[in-house]
Amino acid sequence: MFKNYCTIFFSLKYKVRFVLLVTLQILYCLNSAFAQHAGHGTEVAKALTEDDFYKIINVQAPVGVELEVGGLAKLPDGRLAVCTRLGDIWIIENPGMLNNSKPYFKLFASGLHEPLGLAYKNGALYVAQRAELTKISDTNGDDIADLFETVTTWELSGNYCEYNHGPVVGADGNFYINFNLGDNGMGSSTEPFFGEMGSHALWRGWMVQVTPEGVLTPFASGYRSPAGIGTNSKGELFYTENQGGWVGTGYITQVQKDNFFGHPSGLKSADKPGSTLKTRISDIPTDNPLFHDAVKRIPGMKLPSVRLPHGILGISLSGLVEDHTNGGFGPFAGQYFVGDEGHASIMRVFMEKVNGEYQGAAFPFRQGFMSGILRLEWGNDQSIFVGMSDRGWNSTAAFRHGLQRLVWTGNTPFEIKAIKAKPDGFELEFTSPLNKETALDPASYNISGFDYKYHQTYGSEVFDKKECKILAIKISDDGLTVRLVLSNLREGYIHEVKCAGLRSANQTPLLHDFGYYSLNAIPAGEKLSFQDKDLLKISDPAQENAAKNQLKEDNKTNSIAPNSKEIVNTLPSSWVNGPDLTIIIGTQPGLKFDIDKFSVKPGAKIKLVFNNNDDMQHNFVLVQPSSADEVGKLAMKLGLEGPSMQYVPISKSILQHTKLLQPRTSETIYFTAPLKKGLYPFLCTYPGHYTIMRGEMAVVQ
Amino acid sequence: MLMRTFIRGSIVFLLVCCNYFTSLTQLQAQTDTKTIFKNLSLNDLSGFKTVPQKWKLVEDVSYDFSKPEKSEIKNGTGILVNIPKGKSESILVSNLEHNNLAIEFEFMLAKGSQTTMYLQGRYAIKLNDSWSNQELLPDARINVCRAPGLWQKMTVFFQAPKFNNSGTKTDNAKFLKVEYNGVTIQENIEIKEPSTNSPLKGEVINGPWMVAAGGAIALKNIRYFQFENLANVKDFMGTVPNENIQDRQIIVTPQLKTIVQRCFIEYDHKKRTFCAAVGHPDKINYAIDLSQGALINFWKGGFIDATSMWTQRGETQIAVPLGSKFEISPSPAFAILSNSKDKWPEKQSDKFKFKGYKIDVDGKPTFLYTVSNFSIEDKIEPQENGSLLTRKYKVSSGKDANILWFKLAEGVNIKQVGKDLYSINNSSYYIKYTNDQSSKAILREAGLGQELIVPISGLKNQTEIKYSIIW
Repeated sequence: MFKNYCTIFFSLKYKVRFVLLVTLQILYCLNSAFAQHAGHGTEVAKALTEDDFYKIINVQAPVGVELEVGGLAKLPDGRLAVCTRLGDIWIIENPGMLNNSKPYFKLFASGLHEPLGLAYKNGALYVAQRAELTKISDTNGDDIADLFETVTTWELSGNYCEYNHGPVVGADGNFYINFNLGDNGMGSSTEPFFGEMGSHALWRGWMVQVTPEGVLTPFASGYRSPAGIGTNSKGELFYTENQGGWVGTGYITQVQKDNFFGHPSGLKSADKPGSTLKTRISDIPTDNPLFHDAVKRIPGMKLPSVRLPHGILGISLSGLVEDHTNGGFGPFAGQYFVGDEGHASIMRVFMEKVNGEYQGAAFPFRQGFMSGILRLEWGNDQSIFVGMSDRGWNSTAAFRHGLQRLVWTGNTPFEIKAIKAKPDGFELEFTSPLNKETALDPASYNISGFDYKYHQTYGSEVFDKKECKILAIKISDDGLTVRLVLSNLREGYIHEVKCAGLRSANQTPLLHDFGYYSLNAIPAGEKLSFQDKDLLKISDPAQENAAKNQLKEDNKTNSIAPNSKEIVNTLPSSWVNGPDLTIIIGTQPGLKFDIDKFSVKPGAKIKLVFNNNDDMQHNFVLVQPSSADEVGKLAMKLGLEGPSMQYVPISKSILQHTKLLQPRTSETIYFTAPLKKGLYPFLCTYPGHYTIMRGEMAVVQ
Repeated sequence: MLMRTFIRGSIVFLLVCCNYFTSLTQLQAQTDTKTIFKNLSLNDLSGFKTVPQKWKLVEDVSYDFSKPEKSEIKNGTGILVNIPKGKSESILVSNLEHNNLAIEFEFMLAKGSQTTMYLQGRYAIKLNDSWSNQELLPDARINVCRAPGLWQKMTVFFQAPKFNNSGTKTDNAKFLKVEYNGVTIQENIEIKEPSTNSPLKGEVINGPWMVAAGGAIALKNIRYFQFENLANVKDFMGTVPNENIQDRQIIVTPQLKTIVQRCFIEYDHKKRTFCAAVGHPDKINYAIDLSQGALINFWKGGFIDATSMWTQRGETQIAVPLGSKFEISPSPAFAILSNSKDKWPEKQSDKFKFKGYKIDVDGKPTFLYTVSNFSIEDKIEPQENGSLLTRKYKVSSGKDANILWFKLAEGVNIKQVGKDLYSINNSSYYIKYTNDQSSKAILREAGLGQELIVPISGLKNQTEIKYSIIW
């Protein structure tokens, strides 16, 4: 078959061959959309996609109903309650669309003030609105809410960012709500120590507990933008956090009473009556330590259970659920799914307890949802309802809100099922048996450890990254588990585990070939004995070299140095008459530049001032005509080195760029406009921004 | 959606249910034009060329809410009134001969009164009591006029016709902007020729400001300035347009049911974060601060502009009342006082709790509170075709020795103008309270003004009190 194709191919004219090759290449690139970083060794033909295993199904809302989902709750009779950011609660009958029949929407309540969560308890629905926790009931049985009881209220400064995520009902029957910090305003921050977010009222930046009678008690602190909150089947409480000031990268973590997680602004309330927190603002180090080091130094602080490297595994973590379907949703029973608002994706998180605390690994799981994800909730049919709204912080997806379902097809994907910490390395579990040869080849893997910094700066680059050499490999008899004995394991560091070279026994590549393990603690216990006859010791220099070469390859593409083009930040001395044109570009909320288009003459001397007015990081990258998407996609693949490269990939299509700017900072660049007339796009290449945040420089006579 | 019908020969300025729609942006800035307005003194009549007998200066005036023939005046200066005798109009002519003119004034009408103001003696602005004479135009959206006997305010920006050197008209006269009780109701309306019955004919460069009264009317606080063009006058057109171009404007309009919308309300340039805005299909609306039980805004017409709540990040989260709104005291609507002389508290005590609200089949809310051992149900709804906004409290008490006082109104002054009618705060609105109810209203001095309060004893098991607001 292949020979026939070759014959046909080579009989084509040169130009046609060339076009055909290019088309095939593009199709391949589109098909490997699941690779979020520079993977190696993925084969060209028949790569299976996420869609082959988990399907996304639309839940069609009635015309005119804008489902900006803020909360989801499954009712005992299988109906799904949905609350929206516009203040409505809809109850959906037949949300699972049995036999393809339509769902039926009924408006239950309205007039609420931006509820961001919904819980069902004892016949009533509970929402956390902006100003209160409300119990909503239908007392006369007409399926329309008629009683809105205020369970408890709290202080607000009125800042729009004071979102309240929740409530969730804890194992103790109490409600738990996350109090988002407020925004610190445009212009220079009024609170230089705390950064772009701040606690402007009592308990903002805390998780609070509220009894059904309405007694509010502060529970844990150090929160920034805690968009996800939930419990597992054991009744343990978890939350997800968003990268920003003091938060190098987002995470999911278990929460216990009096935990402190890092953002210092909430500590303004630490001394207030009701607080039993041990941490105080004076405990916060200001010498920019590595995160794991800061945790050791701050009383009350613990490492979050699983950190998800930003830009690679989401940028704005949100709603979470535990897989308690016992196999009804695929091979990940007991694991967690976490939504992302910025990338419209869901990640998967495996957790285990080491020394009594949760830690574990995060993996990519599913992309392609219609909008930024806020909430996840199980249906009655073991599918996950995905509630979305990205208004104000546009995601990479096409729509601004929506409701969809994620359904398992019954086919098991070939995935890294779990990564477990061992006294001397990691144990990797797979969903299907491995091909032994690739499993025992150290070149199939690439493992390194790194950490982020703990500082007021928005986000963080990756620091202290060191490779973990593979000292020995052992594969189980059934081919499902591989134990790697590693050097350089460091407690408190995140470990990147890449397995691009692995194949299943059927020669298929992994659907997702990497994960990140937060090695909060190295478990005690028995190390593998080197007398073990099944243990493959890696002492072969050839194999060591292979590993070394692979690392060199990694470093080349992920070079620390930014784009080699020299960026000029001061007026060139040769411009004796100054610039021909000064352009000032700022930002607008919703991932926009405030100028869509500007025109310049060929070869004009240009001074461009980029003002990042927003409360998140952005850059400005000017590219060759029609290259915006290509460059944007390349930036998404920069992996851990992204931040240190300003998220500017190495590409000939890039003409000029600024650094990645902190919120409310500015950079000026000087350059000469291209000589060739045309439309040159500019864009922000921060992961997730490039599809929306762009404009055009027109070079005209 | 500002809809104006141009009638040949005059601009009929109907003040009842005019066919207009505001596009207010959320924060109405302080206008800079205040500093350039000049007072037209009413200490004497020297500012007027012709003063017919019916017109005189007084210190104070009140018109009966329902009886046009009943009025009271207090001799003095500061307010110009027309006391109608017979049917003839009486035209007041000022010394002010003007070209372009910005003029602002307050006026009060008696029931049924109809008056016309003429700019340059030629271009008419009608000041009619349409409140009593509900001539509904089709598509009426905002009712900004006030009941008879209440002060109202208008600001007019007028541009005179322009002529070339040979005296030929090059531009028509224009109403650049007209604001009525805080609401813009006219913008850039061209006037092709003088009004039909204008006292002076033809079109000129300068003409006198005139008022032709056809019924009782009072005028005060008349201020004006003349101008070449208004481009340099700050805030002439209202607030500076929002820099962030919104995707769309979001207007909430109750259709069949009442809407209760929890929101932030801006009051006195500060955000109140524990509020609800309530809008009824018959276009009577109010906003309440539930942390105090205080009714802080009421208005007629469009309900709220929620653009700042539901667009992009929703940066201010403020629901903006559409229309001419009243802003009244945000202090507690009810409180326990140890005696009738106790100072009214600025905030509810920790004995107060807001319990929530229930809604009836029409969506109308009843708010629920407790204060100590008192339980209060509070229902506020329009009555009598929207001419009253009635607040009814149902109070039950669990044997409390305290007395729970209800504040019906407060203001710079409160005058009892009828058996059950009080005019509040220099006649800006009325309170109707039937004194035959379980409790008599007490009018008392308080701080810099007066308060109208009603006591409910805690030893009474169940009581009901209600009052109405008329504006």
